[in-house]
Amino acid sequence: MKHNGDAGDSSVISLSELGKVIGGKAILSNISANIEPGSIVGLLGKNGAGKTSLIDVLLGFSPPTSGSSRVFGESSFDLPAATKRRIGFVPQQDELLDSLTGAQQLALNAALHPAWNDALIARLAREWEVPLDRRIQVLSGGERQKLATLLALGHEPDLLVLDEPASSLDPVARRQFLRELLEIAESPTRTVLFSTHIVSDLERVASKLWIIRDGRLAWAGDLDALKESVVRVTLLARDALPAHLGIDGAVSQRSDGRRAQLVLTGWQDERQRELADRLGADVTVERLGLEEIFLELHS
Amino acid sequence: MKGALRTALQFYTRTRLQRWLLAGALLLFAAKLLATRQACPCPRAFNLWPFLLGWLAGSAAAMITVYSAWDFRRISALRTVFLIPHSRLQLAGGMFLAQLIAAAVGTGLVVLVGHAEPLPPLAWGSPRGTFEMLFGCALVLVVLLQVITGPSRILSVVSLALVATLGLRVDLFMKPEILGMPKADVLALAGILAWLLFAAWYVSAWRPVALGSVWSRGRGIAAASVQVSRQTAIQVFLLGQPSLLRVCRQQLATWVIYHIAIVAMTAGMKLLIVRHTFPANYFAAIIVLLYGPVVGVNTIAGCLARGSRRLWLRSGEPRTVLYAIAARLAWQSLALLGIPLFGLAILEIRFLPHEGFNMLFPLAMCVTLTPAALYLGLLNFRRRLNLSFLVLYMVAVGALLGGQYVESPQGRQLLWIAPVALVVIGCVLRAIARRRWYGIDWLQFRAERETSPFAVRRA
Repeated sequence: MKHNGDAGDSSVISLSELGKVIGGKAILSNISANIEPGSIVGLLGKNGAGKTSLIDVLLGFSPPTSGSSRVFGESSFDLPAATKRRIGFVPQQDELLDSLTGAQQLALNAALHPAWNDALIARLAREWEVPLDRRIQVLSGGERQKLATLLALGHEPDLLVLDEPASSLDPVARRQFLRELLEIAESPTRTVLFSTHIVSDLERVASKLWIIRDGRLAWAGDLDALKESVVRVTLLARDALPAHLGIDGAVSQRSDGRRAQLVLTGWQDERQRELADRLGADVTVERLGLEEIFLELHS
Repeated sequence: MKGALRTALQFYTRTRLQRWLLAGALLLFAAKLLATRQACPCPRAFNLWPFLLGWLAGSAAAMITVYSAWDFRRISALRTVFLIPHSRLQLAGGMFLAQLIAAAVGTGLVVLVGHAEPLPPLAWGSPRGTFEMLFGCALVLVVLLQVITGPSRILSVVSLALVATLGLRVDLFMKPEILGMPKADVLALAGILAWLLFAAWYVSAWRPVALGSVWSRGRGIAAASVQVSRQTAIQVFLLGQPSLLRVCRQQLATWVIYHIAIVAMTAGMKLLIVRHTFPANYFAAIIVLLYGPVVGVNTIAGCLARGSRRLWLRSGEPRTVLYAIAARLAWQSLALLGIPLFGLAILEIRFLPHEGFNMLFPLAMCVTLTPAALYLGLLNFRRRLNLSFLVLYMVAVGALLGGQYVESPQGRQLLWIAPVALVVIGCVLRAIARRRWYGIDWLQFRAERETSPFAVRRA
């Protein structure tokens, strides 16, 4: 089911057979994928699946144990300053300094970036209603999250990486935040990678999807292609069905005499007739939503 | 009662450090007992091993109490604990019982050791007196630590001033009786009274705050202007504070306060001596000054190591340059801490009495220990300060004891071997630190989460 992307020169991110082992435990295994400029990629996985670890490796916080990770063609572990300036990162646990005000925290970041866009930050802070004059210590979770995102946007990065950016926001704020995210990603050269375990967020904004399960990439490709590819098939046969149906790509199966229900990956419409003929059954095909697909893949 | 007892035992066994300290202290006491029985009975000979073991055992026991007091405050501030009914009553009772158990065990050990020693060791006269002295001292120490580091700065300063005044008027304690009562009884009563007052406040307070961290007291960068230099920004991201100077100032203040407190606690030590002519001796206060730069630079270097992640993407610098920046700041902090504290220590060594202790050797040891402490700090990516402190503390205590040993003919060579060895260790740690920083994996050093002591442990 995994789609291995060719790591071309134009890729913003390219991972090749990436593996990471910590304390003898494989956190990431054999991950190969790439991201083209202008994409909004959602990184989906359960808690502890390896999303944050993958982001840490691809941003150079951590060296890979095997394989390679490249950002803008440079090795992640040795990113040069020019490449780092093209990256904006919002970590899962913000790195804000509680004793400062929002404005002071922004000034610190501006001091480290030669091309800091004050006008953009002022506009976004106004639109997002971030109180820059207040101490970070007294900001709400949502306000902190927005401030952390502002810090990542001030130098107008080509690649924006957000680790669970909306997890601490309420539904209203989350929707507003995702709308803003879409606006940010409007530029054809800007690429966004964001991790989440909230499927509805992903459906709203992402065009491509990486699903990570137990440290392995279970899917890397278009969101629509995934929805086309995974279906629920119901079989109703004239005689009792065998226990083992021998159908390729079955993720789950529930059988009860003449009736069986399966979730299949790699679905193509031609398979409907083939199954009906081989098993002597009526075949009903049902398309699944992303949430159902995610649950089935993790069942 | 059951809950309080369970909490009391947790104060000795909750963390790995406490368990190691407890096991170490018990083993050392047992060894001290054996060594004392086999030691030369002639009163003039200096028996190194019983002395060394006794000192180490006593230090480990004292550290358990200090660590428990610190842990007590930290636990009290947890929101999860706040929500548990009667949790603070249980914690207060637990801490009281913990001191009771410690005093009982301590008395037992003193009685055991005491029978073996040639000179009358039960300075306080009887097992009951011993128990009362230990119990009173432990309670007063625990309450003092809570009050001095407590939420009210005024109370903190007042209590510190009171202790300092009593410390300077040690003659008040040079009597077998105070207010017509045996001084052991007075001390036990004072301890219980202090505890009752503290417990009354503690149980009724809304939610006690965590022990003030020296890193969280900053007022932020200049509010008037939000224009900062690149160098300032790098320091702030690494230290979480506006400047290295401010961090060092806080460290200096902390160590000077400890120094004053130890000078004051000389009075407490005199309480434990029956010979009321015990001379004033400030070796413990001087050793705090010597120990200050060692621990201070270790703390600051650890802070720099943990702050480095914030700069990886922001600063654009490679790992090699980040290491160079952190090492430079750490050395600057060593100069800012070392010059005043070592300078003051040299003055005190010259002018304050410290009979029986050669302080020049500990001075040489601590000065040469600072590079090792600095690089040990730069390797402390995970917040494991306690273990680091313990190692440094043991070396410092060793230095103090070594000061006795170098007086003997067979110990002369220690005078130059030990400082040179520490410098070599510092060089080795520097090489290790550079290597670790050049390949640093921040993924492995995520901050550890706070947990409640009442959390159910995995089977």
